[in-house]
Amino acid sequence: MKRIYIILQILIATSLVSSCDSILNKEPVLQTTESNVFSSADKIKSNLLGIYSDAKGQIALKGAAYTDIRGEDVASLSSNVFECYTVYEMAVGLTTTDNSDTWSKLYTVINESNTFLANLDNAKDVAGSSYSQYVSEAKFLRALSYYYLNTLYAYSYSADSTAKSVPLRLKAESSTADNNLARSTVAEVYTQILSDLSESNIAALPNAGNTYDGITRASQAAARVLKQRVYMEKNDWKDAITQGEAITGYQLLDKVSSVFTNDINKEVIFSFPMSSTNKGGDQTALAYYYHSGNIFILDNTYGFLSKPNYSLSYDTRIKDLVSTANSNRILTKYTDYQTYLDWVPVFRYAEVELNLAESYYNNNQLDKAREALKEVRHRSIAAELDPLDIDNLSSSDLKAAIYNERRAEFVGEGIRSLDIHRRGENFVKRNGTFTPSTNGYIWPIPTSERSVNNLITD
Amino acid sequence: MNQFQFSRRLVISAFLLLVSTVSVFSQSVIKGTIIDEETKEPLSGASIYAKDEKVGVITDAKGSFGIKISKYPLRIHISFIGYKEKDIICNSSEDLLQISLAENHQVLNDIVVIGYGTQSRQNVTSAISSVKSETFKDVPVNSFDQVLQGRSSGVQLTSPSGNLGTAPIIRIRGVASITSGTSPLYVVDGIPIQSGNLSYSGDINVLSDINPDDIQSIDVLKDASAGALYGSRAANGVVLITTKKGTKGRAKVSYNGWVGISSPVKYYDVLNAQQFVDVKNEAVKNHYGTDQYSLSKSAATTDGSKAFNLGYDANGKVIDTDWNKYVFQNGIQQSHAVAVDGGNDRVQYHISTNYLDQSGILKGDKYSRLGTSFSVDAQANKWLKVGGTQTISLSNQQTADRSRGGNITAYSALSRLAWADAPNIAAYNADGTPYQEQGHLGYGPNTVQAPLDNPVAIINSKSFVNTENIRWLSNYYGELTPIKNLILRTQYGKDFARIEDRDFHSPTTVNGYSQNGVATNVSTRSSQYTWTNTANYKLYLGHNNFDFLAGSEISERNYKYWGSTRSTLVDASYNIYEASYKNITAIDSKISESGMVSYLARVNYDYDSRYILSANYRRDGYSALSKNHRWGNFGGVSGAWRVSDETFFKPLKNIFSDLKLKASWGVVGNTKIDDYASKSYYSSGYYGTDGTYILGQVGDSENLKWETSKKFDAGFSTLLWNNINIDFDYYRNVSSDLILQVPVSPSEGIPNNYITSNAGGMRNSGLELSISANIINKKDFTWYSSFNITTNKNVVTNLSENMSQLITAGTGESTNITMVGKSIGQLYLYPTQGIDPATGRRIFTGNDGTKVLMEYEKSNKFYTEDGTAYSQSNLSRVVAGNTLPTWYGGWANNFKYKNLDMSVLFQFSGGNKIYNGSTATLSDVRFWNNSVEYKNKYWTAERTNAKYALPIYGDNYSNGSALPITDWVENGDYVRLKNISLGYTLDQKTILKTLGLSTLRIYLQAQNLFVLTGYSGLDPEVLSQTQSPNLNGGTDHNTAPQARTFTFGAQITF
Repeated sequence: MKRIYIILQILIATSLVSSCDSILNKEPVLQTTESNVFSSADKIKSNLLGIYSDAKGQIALKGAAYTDIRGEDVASLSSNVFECYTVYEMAVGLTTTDNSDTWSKLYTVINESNTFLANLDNAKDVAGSSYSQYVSEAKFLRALSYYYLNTLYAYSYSADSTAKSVPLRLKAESSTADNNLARSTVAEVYTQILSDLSESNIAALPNAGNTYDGITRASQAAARVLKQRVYMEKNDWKDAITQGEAITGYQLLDKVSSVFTNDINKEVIFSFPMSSTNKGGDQTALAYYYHSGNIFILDNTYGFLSKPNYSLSYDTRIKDLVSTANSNRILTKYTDYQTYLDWVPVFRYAEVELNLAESYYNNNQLDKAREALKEVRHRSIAAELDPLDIDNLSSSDLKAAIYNERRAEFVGEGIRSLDIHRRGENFVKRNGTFTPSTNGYIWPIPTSERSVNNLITD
Repeated sequence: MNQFQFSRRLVISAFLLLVSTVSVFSQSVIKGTIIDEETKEPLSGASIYAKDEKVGVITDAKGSFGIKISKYPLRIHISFIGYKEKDIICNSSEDLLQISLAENHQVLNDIVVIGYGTQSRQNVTSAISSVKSETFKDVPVNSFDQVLQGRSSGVQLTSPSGNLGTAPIIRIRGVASITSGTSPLYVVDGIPIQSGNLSYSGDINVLSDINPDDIQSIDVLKDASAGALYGSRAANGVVLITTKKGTKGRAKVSYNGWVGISSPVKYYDVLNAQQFVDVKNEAVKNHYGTDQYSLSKSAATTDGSKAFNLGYDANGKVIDTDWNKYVFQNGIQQSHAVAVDGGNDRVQYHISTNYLDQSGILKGDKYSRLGTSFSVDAQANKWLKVGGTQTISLSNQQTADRSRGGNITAYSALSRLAWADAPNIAAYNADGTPYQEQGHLGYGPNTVQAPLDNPVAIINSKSFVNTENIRWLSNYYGELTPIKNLILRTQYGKDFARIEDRDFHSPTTVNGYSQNGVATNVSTRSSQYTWTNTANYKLYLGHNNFDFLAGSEISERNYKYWGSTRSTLVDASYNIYEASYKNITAIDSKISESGMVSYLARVNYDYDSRYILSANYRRDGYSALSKNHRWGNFGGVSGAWRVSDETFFKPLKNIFSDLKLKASWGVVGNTKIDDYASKSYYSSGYYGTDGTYILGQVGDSENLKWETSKKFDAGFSTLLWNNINIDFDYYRNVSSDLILQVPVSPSEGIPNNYITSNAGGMRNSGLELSISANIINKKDFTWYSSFNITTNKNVVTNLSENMSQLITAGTGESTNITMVGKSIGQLYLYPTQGIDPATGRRIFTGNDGTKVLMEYEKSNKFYTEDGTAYSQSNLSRVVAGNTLPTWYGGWANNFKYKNLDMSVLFQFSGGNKIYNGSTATLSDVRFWNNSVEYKNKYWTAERTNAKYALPIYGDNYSNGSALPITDWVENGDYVRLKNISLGYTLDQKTILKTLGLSTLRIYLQAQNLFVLTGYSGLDPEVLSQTQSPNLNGGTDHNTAPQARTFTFGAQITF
């Protein structure tokens, strides 16, 4: 009798041993492995789109607000540090959340691009004919991220091209072994960006605007606009002009507001899409900041609205895109404050034109500069009603006109503070004047990086 | 009754009597009964031994016995477990008619529950503390883990706030891990159960699913030897819960109920409307030169009004709202529990049912539970015993406070609303609806918006998080006894929880306004099973007693949740998820699984209870670790020497009735890590209308292995003068290979900026002392006192080679650092030196020691005393104190005078610092309200010795909001009168008989009556960042105060 029970016990014990495997081998149910991702063309494309999605997380949400709220055209009434308050106050420090988040998110995009490129190299046949396009797209995203890093964390090229900038990560990282990497110079970062946007890389990108894929992913035009901006940073006006003139297939719409009401159109070159499963929310979506008149408002005293030629009531930009809420002027480019489904355009053709205007001006081609300026300004203001006589402006007045037009055209699109920084100008805002030697003109590399990367020095 | 003990006594007694003479006598049988001295209940199973006759009998179910005797006088020895033994000289048959036994409070005769079995306390060689249900029967808690505070040495408990239902933070002998879980393993009747907060949006404590009334005893296993049989999960200690089982004898029906009221221990005194307007306008004037300034337009006001103005209601009366009134309340609570237990020789059962309904001290806080539990133990035949316990509980928790879970800056952080909402804005509109402007409290008569919520809007619109939890704990066992002393046992336990969270934000609140109402429902299913098979063999060879145990165990856990968010109500009068909404989006779901396979063995040996040795071993394999390092070996040895039984000790025996020296050493592990900690994987997502795959985690899939703790313990237990129990232990636990989220530089772009690897080391050491004694033990008056104190020194010995310090961001602010050489979670703040009497500015200390003045209105913000701008990057934080208490304990006293009983528990803790972040909230010079203390202590030219800086509107630096400062660090030492209860037991037999009751006791009880402390916040027992209590501990920021509770209760047995 007792023997039976002892045998039973042994049987139970052994049965446990044999079912060991299913108990101890638990793979994540909802996730997949890297080798699996690079085994099919569809999944490779999904991985690439994932990099866009992470770039969107920084550049189209909240990050889009940073570069405007640093400028003087937009002011903030909120003193909530989760609503860009520290950025508005030009007080971003070593441990400010906005700082460590931005740094981390942009480098995540960079590492994802590097990892994608490394894996793609081993999966050329799986990728097939799309291989070169995918390589260029990943490099475009990497270049875009380094552009934002270089303009936020370092002084402008024109101020000092040998100034310290950010570390250049160019290979896939997956361990703690490579924590330490020293800062590269401003010039070196721009060289890397330009190499990522080489002509051969651009040639592999598609050249079709006005389609979903053409706008939400890198295209030849998008790469050229970025390249144009970088050349302008370097004061390489001739190269900037070449890039601008090479962009074809896009045109200005009748009204600027149409760029924002119809997500896919002929003017927008690169835009981040939103959808119910992937969009911003409270305190990240631009509509949250702009619509209520309680957070981001247009500054009547320091902003372009204080200039008579730029606050004309019949300017369709003012008529359609500036409104009033809570007794304050607000921007209505982003209006979906309930579902946050507004797309966020990054590059559009009007910028190409105004980049050209500034480049022509600096390259002493004043006539062409005037033409380009008129193209953009007279889209929104009927030529016969325009009090600004562009054709007869003096050289310095023309420069001011181009600069001011950029402000009026691109308010809310994240360009203003990039312009100020590029030209080494002062930030003259309602809450103070910030010169290049003031604390806060650029952002310090965050403590989260310094504490682990021992080669970061000031 | 412990068979082992009884038979041993029998054997020894028989041996001693061999030499006594035996005289022949005609045999007759005398009868008697044995009863409990207090309750007068008959005791069945008591043993009566007639020494001369060498005859022993046991009382039956009615407490009666009959014993054959030859002659008088007759020496009788009576014993029964839990009662004092009695020796009687019987001269006639009447003497034995009714013998009463008194309960024994001596600790030595106890049975202690150890891993996978029991042991008599005198043979225990490891560090175990026991808390019996008697000691906490009056304490009105909804979850048993709350009773451990102050009652067990080595156990440190922090209740994070007065929020109803929040889990307390329990640390046994310090903190044994850096980023992995540090809460102990909870085992109920031999089955490990789930603990902590299993819900998605709520903040619940699933241990509250067990009714504290159903618990017989709680044993805390503190060292490696005690815990090693739980091997891989015992690094943080093991808490064993034994639930009440049936007893043989007459069925007992009992009722235990109480009603009570709880209120906040303290309120902050905040400014009224006139004071608020004056203080704020002064700050505006200091910044902009005039107080007739419109903050929302950055220009002078056109109508001459000031930045902040008084408001008037429809009748012309000044609006002066006391927001404390709309946030805090007195909460009513009641609990009722009925239990039936009984049984006979073969079957014993215990059935109980309980109902608990509580309101908390914050409006909207509710907790209710309906539960039932039944356990059966049945001896099927001579060799088979089966049984099991089922506990089913349905509970519902509701709260409006979204700061729970560490979210200290949530818009609807309820306590903060009481302190920060503007008092010159009305709570209600004239029509009775809550006042709000687009969800925010709004501008009111001020020129700047108060952006936080109106608490009335939150409560009235039922913008709550409701968590409904259905929990089923079941265990089933079968025991075979094929031969004597061999028990083969199989036990299967299942712990199943289904939780639904309903989270609603109404359009009248900030979080719900822009989307016109948002409701999120999440359904979580969390279940685990454990199947254990053991063989236990006891061997007695003369004085040598062996207890062998061997077994195996498998366990799997499955956790998943899904849910969705619906937004934009079609009809704003609805406040539920099921109403009509325009939009619906799924949340990111999760499925997570883990499994463990284990083998275990133990040998306990004792020689006459004088030399005691114990060794155990366990081998575990865990799915979350890397394939190559999945298996770990754990174990421990311990020994004890009962010095008092030695012959050489005899002269001291009248002082030291018992003296046992003990020591233990062992290795245990920790499994509270993420289920997929070692894996690298890609996750899916979306970009516009397309799906994406993106790098989700990079893990150390080749090398991740077990975290281990080597624990050493040495000490002694002694019983002085047969009355005073003293237990003393020195412990030293060294944890290594801690699984740490090793940070990588963010520029590497690795997801989450860390890779989970084995990298850390920690050491905890200290002393534990418990003393308990019956100080007075007279017929009418007894006084029993029990004191325990523990010291703990926690040192992080190792992080990783790239990391000399670990700074984890809390939610909303980061105030802590963990570094090698200091205890975990040190405060890490910007050094400040108070207020400069000359200028009224807060003095920050630069890296180089320079005194830097914070001048908010100037562009550079920081300037040296001579006016030069000072770069903010030269201000660095410094270590500002440890947040773990270094000493803690309790002192309990039980008094009994005739029918009255009183018990008092003091609980104390100290050696830690607290960062009082709420001071920053109450002295913030933005739109927020301030404390009366702020108004009385800010710098003016006439009042230069100040605590707060010159008010400059907008300044969130001088008060510590933007940069947490060392000026707000305070000592966290305190002594608290935790519980005091006064009870009256009715023993008038006639009254009881007419009412049909066996016993009736009524009592009054107060919890948290007062606390002695130097801490200026609401209560020194506080922890705001509950999502990360060790790395981000010691902060009090916007957290609700503790609750003081008065209850009146009754305990009745029928």
